[in-house]
Amino acid sequence: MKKLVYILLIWTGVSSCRKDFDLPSYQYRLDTPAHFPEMELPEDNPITPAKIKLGKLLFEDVRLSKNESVSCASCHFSQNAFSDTVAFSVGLYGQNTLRNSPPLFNLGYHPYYFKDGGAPTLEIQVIAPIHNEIEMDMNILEVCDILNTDGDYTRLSQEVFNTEVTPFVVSRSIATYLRTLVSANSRYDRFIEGDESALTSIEKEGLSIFEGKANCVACHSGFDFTNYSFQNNGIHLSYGDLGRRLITGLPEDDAKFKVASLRNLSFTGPYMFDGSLVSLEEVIEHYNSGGMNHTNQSDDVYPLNLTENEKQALLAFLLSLNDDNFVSK
Amino acid sequence: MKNKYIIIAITGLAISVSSCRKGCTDPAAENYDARAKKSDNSCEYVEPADTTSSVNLVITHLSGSQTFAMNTDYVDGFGNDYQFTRAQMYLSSPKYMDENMNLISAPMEYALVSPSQTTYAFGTVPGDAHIHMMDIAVGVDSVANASDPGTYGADSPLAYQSPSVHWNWNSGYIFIAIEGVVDIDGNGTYDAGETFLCHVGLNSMLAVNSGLLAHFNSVPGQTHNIELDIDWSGLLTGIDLSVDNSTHTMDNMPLATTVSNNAANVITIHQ
Repeated sequence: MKKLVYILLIWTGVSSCRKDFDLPSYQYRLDTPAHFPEMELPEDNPITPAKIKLGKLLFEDVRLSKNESVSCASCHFSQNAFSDTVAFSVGLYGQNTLRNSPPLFNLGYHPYYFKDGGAPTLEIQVIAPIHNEIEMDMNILEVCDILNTDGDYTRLSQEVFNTEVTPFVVSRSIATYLRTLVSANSRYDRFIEGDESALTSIEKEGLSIFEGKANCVACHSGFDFTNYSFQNNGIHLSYGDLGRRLITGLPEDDAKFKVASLRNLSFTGPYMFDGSLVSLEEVIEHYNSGGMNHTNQSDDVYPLNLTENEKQALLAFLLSLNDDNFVSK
Repeated sequence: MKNKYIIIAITGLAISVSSCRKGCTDPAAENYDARAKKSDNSCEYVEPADTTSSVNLVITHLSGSQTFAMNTDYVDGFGNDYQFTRAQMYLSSPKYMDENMNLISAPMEYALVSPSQTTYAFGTVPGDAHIHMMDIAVGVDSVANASDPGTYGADSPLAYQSPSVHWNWNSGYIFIAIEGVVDIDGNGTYDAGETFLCHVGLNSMLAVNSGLLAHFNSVPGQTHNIELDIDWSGLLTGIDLSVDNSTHTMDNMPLATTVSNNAANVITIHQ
């Protein structure tokens, strides 16, 4: 009886004096290793399991395209770290995209999106391919009208956002799903976490070249092997793509593209903004040559004079950045 | 002994109930209850008197001095026949001045204007002002231009639209979207592929129509119609559509710049 009274006292005190505020819905916690920074999430788009589910559904739904033939997943294959296997993906009506399809991982850390940085947030970026005439050629309002006739979508949308399907629902859901695509479990990651045996001796030698003689870290730095800057790497002497200049209009940004991550390279070829290099050996050879000397070529691209053994070691190290668990998701 | 605990429990309950009284907890409300610990949604407020005057834009759509119509023949300055099939522009950033050219405070407003509509709600001005002159911009300001259309309610001109007025390769809005057909070869027909398209939008291309003599006295609680003319063909002044007929802004900056410069002169007070 005594116990019951005290419980009753505590319960009445707590329940009747609770402040009026909305409790946050259950939030999903991204499982990232200690050597990754904490991912900052937009205030209006916390991650929840139901939203991830809705985002994945949308990502794989061909009804986002005009003739229901193309979904986001059509150019972003999970087994290829969500990239494509060809230089230019095939969009609507057999049209080719203008740039190589990027892999999709660790996107929540990017400060901007597209190879030219044209989209400032993931929420804005995910709508663009839907509107793009080559990729999906739909209007997001038409997409919402269609999805609102589908009970599965309307139920999930109500559950997550308490509304019918709207552009806000679509953009927040796909962006949320993409943020959960975290690749952080390569052998290099295990090495960084203290497992000395995770890398072989030739891979460690390659790491030394990567950070030293080849100075790849000038641009491919940090936990995701990119500093997200815009660079011209001298892959061509003249370009049919304005790159960053398309956004800024500045001649000094001509043919500059966002530095790509070097994770999962075994799965993400062909390489470069236009998929013009098919193998990693070609990529290493390009950087070893010092580039084509484009007007805006980065000062960090210069002849490296790597020996064959050094190239082999560098390649070995790059392959240690593969995350087999990620591509098998 | 048992009675002792029952008394404690009842006392506790009484304290709890009395100390957690429900009522209006907002000090700004008329019926604020200082003893209330929990809101019961009963707060009542006095409606503040409306001290502002609403503004509508009432637009006459023109091509030169003629009434504008889609799919109707017009002639550009170089003798090329053309027709509009799409015409949209954002109007924003109203600035109102009194007789002494002092700025009269007014909120930022946006309207997505097309020839199918004449009247647009365009915010408010103080209810006791004499508006002598106004400026109005074609386009949207840099803050709105960087915003996410998905965050706006469906009724907002800044929300996603159909057809889209938001770039699909960049963030930002298309300030001006005009499209149509043009008789490039001069054979009297609009053949396949004889089209023009001008999509203009970049922060630097905000085009301000300055010094419009609006001349009105605002009255609190009332709506004032500002009557404007928009000359859609004026956007193409100085452009030979047979040779220069396509821009998405960055892929043909000179043409986009010409359209933007023209946009600063296409809006006038209705005569």
